[in-house]
Amino acid sequence: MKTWKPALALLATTSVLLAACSSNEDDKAEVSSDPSELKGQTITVGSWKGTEAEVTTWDKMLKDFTKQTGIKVKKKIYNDYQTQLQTDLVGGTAPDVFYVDAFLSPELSKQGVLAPLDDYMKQTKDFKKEDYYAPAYKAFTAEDGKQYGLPKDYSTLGVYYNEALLQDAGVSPDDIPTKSEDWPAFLSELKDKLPKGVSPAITTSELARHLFVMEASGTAITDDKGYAVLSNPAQIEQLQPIVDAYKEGLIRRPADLGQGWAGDSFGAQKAALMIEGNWAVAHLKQNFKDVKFGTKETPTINDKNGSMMFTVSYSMNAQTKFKAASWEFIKYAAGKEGMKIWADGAGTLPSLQSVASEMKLEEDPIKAPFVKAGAYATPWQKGDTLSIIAREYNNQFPAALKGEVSLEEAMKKAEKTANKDIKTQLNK
Amino acid sequence: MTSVPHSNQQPVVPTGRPPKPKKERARKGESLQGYTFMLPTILIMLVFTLIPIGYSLFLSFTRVNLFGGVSFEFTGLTNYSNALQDERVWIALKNTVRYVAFVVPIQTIIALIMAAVLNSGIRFQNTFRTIYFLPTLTSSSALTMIFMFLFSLNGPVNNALVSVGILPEPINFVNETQFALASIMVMNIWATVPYYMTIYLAGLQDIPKSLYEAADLDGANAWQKLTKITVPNLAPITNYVILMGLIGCFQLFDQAYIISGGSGGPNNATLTFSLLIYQYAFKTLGTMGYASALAILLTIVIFTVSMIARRLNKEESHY
Repeated sequence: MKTWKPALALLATTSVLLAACSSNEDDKAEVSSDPSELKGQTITVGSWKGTEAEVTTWDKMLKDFTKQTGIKVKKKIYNDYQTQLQTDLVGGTAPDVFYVDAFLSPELSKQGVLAPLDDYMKQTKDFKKEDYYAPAYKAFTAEDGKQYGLPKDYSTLGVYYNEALLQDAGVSPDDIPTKSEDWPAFLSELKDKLPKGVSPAITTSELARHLFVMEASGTAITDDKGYAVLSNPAQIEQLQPIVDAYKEGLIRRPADLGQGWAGDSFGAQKAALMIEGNWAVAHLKQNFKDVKFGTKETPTINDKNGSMMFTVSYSMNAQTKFKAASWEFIKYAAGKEGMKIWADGAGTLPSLQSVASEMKLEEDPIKAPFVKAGAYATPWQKGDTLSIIAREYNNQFPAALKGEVSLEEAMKKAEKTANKDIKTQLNK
Repeated sequence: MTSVPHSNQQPVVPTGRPPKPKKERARKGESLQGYTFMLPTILIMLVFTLIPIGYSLFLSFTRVNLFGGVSFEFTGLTNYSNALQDERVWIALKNTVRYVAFVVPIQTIIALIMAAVLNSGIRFQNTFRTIYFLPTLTSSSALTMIFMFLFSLNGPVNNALVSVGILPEPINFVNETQFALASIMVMNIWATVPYYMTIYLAGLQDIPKSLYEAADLDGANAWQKLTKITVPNLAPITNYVILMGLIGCFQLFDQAYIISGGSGGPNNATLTFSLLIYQYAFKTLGTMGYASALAILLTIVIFTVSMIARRLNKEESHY
């Protein structure tokens, strides 16, 4: 037992040290009335690397920010964003401003590691929060009503079609139904006209793509306490067509065709239609130059438009020592000037409506469907229990697709497992 | 069974000298010197191994929030009792045990046979040794990507099997529930066999030639020499190989993570114990305590199984 004493002492010391490191500072907003006094300060901004274009544009934008404000920016690039950011937050070494995926926003804001931005916004002249696309802005509004980040850009889902494949099949892009109810008949007709081995449609099958389909029934996938609601008959009814179409070979997943993601399958001309996010546009143009494609909005469900929105914010570290400078950065990067540089160079969709109209994105034939979805898409964010719910859904849904169990059984199982986990682990 | 003499075995000579009072001071100085030399290693061990182990043991009895203001809530054995009632824990354990039960014996046997072949003096022996060792030098995530390509729906393996006529149509090895874990097994055997083969090769050098010569004189054939001389003499090496194999296999993570994208699907088919720990430690916030408890449970399982394996192997050995 003697040998345990030093170990225990060490342990106690570590705990005390850890506790001491994380004492709360006052969380009053600091907005500098004279930005020039911030000159020479250095803030750290955390991001992930992204595409080649994003890397170049990121540097360009940071340079412009420093030129305008005199505030220097140190970059911190995450390779494994979620794990590394968590470690940094726990260790107290997180950047002053960092990307927050909307998916993580509720969990992080609940932990108190993000600074609420409401007071900053109030104290900033001419700050128009109405200019943000509502779903993108609300994705970072927490349950307590506070705003924990401003969206830097967003992506939505849309329909891609391969022009050559449709033409050879004698189908015009205008024939693609705008109502999802008409899709099964259209797809099965298309299937007969396509060459063997080409799937009519391809899409990834996970909750991140199906959330808006399930909620089109009017039932949310979580109840007011955060428990999963996945097996409501109305939800099953919405999902069933996807499962049926899959069983009839009308829809395939990229994995079924041996590819890592749908963009590659579509590029390899293995599918005539694809439902994907706007990030596939750049990928297709860069890697599959010969493939001519067009885009459309995702079909309506019950005559209502729907799509998913994936968005990322700039959020402020609650522990930052440079509050004023950090807000200067967020204001710039999520504001008109910074966002224009970013959207122009990186090819992402700006989350400010004024920037979108300035860039004339609604007139861009390829990007327009995705921009339009910005007004009505469902953000990929659902409280702090979504990571568990999505994990179980993605685990069980494939079994239903393959017909190993019925959709209802799969969803009941996913719901039950998720709720048990939420109850025991998150102590709801 | 005939008993085999061990000419190479050294008798155990106690190296410690009896303490002599007048040399006490010198000895003290010597041991101080020894500790000084070891200090860097001890410090590193302490900081990166012992403290984390102690800390996670401590965390496993709490509900902990490491963010912002760190708060510990001592919950006693709740995490452990939750784990035992958690269906996912049992599925993960079942998958992992199934994996271990297949991979460890197969990789040990293949490694032994390959080492014996490569030690038998065939042509280009060294070239083969180098080639076989290559997979071990590659990182396991790179191997997983290569393997996923090889076994993908349009990959070379499927193409070959279909064109030869063994399969009517390509099989989706990586994404079908019933093949996913098996694919990982094959991949891991392929990747780790060379490493253990090298260890066996080193062990084979220690077996005296005279044993084989004597066996030749007695008219033993190759199989008899393998089972009666090589295998028994390699027992300590086998012990090591099995232990390392068990530990490595119980900690299976990267392949399962890459194939399932972290979810452990399809339908829990690739949910391994380490993946489960990772999910609770990093994918869900605020469950670090539960993850720690699972990690401690995994340690206990590995420890128990290793001890049992060592015991069984010892009984068969000739030492």
